[in-house]
Amino acid sequence: MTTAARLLYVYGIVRPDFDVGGAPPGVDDVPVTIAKSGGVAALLSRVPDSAYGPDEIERNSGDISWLSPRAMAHDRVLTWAQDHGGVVPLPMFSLWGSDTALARSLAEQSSKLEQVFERVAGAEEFGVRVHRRDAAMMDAIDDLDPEMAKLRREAQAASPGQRYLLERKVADQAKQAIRAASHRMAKQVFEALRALARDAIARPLVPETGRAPDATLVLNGAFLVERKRLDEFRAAVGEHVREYQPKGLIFDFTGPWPPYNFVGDDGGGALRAAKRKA
Amino acid sequence: MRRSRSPAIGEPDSLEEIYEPEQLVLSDLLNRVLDKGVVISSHITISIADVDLIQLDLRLLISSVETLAGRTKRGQLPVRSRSRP
Repeated sequence: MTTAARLLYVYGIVRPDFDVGGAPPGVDDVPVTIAKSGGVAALLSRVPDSAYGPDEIERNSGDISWLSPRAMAHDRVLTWAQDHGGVVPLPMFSLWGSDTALARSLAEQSSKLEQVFERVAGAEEFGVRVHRRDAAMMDAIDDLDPEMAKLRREAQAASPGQRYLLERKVADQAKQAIRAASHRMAKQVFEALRALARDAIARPLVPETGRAPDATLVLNGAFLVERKRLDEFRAAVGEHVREYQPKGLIFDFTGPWPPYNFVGDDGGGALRAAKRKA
Repeated sequence: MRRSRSPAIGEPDSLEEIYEPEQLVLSDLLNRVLDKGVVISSHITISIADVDLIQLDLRLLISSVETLAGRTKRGQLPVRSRSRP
């Protein structure tokens, strides 16, 4: 094993005076070490290329049982580093072939990375995802949409013959009304939380089939929140939950995370950037 | 402490009927560690572009209850070691 070729698996970039003592184990429980170059340093593990070569990763990365423990290890190292002075995360499987190659990359990118440090220093990332549940929104539709309320009142007051037609109209228009109201509320939530954050990103609404039968994603937000405003931010999320949950929205609030969403060139990430180039 | 929904938002019980918290956190985690982060050029190019994140989500869900329940028992899910700031 000692003669096997090694790759440098880099988790993230830290400041050159970062103390790696006490770091949790990395991928495959390989110890985490530090390599300094220029004005920055990399947190890394030396992994065998038999496990992390391009072909192996291509073959295995679609297998959730292979991927999950490594993803958790990647995040565990970054979360620890974030708690011990701050870190600029790299995507999983950022690998270098030698110490020399890594040192050269870090030196070349040093000034850019130092700027990224400044951007995220003293702040934590939170995720706020909001789904709407159509049935719950339908129950609250009179409050959400005055036009729908009017139509429903007319239907109830109408003669039996007319009522049927009006109820058909209510059913037809309800779907659109629910969609419009949910997106309006999602925008309100995003803007209100953005005002409390240093930076914020509304991610694409990737459908999440199978999560819950009638839940539709309406906001996939990431927020970079300064530590001194964390309580204020949490309280604001709580207020929004209390306000909008009765109107049919459900909230997933996660964090604090290392600033994954706020270190890319566009505030975005590796795969997306790679796909654009392709 | 597990990274999860903040207790500040209240009424977690009603939400847990809808999502397994572990499933939610793992999905959030994968979408971050795979797709986000600063890209430093000139390292060995490992393409995982073939891994469509949407498919990944679906696979995650298909494998959800049984696999994740097993993982929870084995203590492999992310656990935060720090208290909230």
